[in-house]
Amino acid sequence: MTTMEEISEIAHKPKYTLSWLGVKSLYVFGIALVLAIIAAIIDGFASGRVGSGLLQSDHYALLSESIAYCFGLVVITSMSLMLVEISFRKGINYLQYALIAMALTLFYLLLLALSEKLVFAASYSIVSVMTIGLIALFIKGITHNLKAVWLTTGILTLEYGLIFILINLGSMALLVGSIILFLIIALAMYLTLKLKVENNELVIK
Amino acid sequence: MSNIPAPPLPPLPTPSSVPYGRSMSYGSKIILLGLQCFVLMIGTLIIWNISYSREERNLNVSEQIAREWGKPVRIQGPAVQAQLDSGVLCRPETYFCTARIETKSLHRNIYEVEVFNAHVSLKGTFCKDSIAMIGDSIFLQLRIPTRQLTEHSALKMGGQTVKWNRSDGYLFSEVDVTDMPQVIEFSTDFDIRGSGSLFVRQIGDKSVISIEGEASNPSFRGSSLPDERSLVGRTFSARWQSDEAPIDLTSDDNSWSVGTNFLVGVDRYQKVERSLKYAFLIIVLTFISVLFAEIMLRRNIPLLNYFLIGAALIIFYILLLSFSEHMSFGFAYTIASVMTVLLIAGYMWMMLGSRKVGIVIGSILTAMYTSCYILLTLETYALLLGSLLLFAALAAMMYGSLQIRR
Repeated sequence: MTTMEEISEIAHKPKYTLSWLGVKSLYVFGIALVLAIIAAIIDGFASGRVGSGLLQSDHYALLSESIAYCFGLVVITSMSLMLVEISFRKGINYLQYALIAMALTLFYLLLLALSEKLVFAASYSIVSVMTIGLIALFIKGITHNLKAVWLTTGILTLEYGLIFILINLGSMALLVGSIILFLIIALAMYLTLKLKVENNELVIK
Repeated sequence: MSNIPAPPLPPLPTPSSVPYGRSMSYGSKIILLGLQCFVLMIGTLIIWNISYSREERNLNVSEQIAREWGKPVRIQGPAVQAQLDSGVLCRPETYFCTARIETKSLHRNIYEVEVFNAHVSLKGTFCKDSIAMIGDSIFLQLRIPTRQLTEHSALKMGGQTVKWNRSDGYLFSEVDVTDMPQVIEFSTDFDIRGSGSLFVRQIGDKSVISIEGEASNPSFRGSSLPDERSLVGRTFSARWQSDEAPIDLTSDDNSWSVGTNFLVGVDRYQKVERSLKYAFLIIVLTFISVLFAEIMLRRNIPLLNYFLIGAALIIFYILLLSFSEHMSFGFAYTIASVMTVLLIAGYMWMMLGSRKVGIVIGSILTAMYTSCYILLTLETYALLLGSLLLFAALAAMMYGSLQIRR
């Protein structure tokens, strides 16, 4: 049994400090970089499958376009997990971040495998539902908080939906993508304004 | 421990008005900001890469569209042959070629292509003695891309008018030279569509080739440089003279050819890439201004907020790149910079709760983007103006640091 003193001591020891935010952001960028390289390897593998006639080249074009968004996908998802950590006060540890990011990268391999057999849009929706479901269940297991689960699911659905739209836009993708990027930065700025330090601890107000 | 509910936050007596309490020393902050600048420069490298690959793709598509209008034009001839498939036996003694270029831009989707219509008139003289050695009836051959011809007049030669016959890649006509004078004059003219370049082969013993017209970015090329040239705005003219001629008259190589290359695509990507060169300077100067604001107001701005400001400055270039594909560069630059300046100024205002800081940062950014645009449009004075602006920025920083000590 933990005593009240111990609980209050835990409460007084700040966990979500600014330096925690800095270290975790660096970690997230590192993971995103490594996984972007792995996604590029999947891209190369897919082009090999095109060469051997297993994958249609128009499916490959869409897959390759979507792999270009891997870095952004991992960074934005992990950042929103940090948001979940701060706002719901539930710890998600470094290994769990890495596992979630791996699920996001495994998405591409599954997409490659399924799009060899199915229509691209169908395989994209099946694989994204699989990935979002897995991550949502994982978040539920970590946090036991339904609000956090819905927040993560919503963000992931939005991300996969946007990527699907962007890869189908063709030459307009850069314009739409850059405006979305601008909005994301504006949203991040807004969130940092909401972020306050109280007792050395970050809180969202 | 995991089954313990989240400990409630200890109550605070009064929520502090300062957003972020703890501060780090300015020395370590400056070092970390310097590191951040380099990380952000990776972002500009990525944008440069995107711009480069889009430029390549744009060039390919533009060339494809231009091909449909007309390929590069090469004019060779006319020269005398005994038979159509035999080699060229006699060349003009004098040869004058004048081409007037009218450029025209074609639009398709985001691609914009410059193509041209050329009005070419050919004049010159043959020596009858050298033709008479071949025979009374000879063939005259003019090698041009015949598919791109829009109009052509008949050949006037030694007082006779002879029709041109079309074949693939050349025009030809059969001429009887028995009644012609000693110096046989010829002339013909035609209109031709093309893109990319127009080259003329210096085929006569004495050749004068002149090309003039309007184009956005002509460059004079060939086996010799023009003897006279002028380039005022979009209007250009060039003139080549030569007293020598190639020995092999039938070959399709580019020796003894002179002409002009035209830019097929548009140069917006180069402008974006040139503006990217100033990214580092803009980031550094913005960080310094924000640092000054932080020191003057005795507030702490965490590194994350600096990073977001830097990221917004990088996203300006992506916005610029994507907007410039749909509108003119100046307009795209204005919209992208207004968006970025408003975002950062508003952020500073809300973060520090001081409208004055927001306005000051906004006007510093506006000044930087304006001077960057001026630097992009100036060509020869860019270095002079750029160094003067840097001098002014340094002076402003010195003044700012004096304000801090007070």
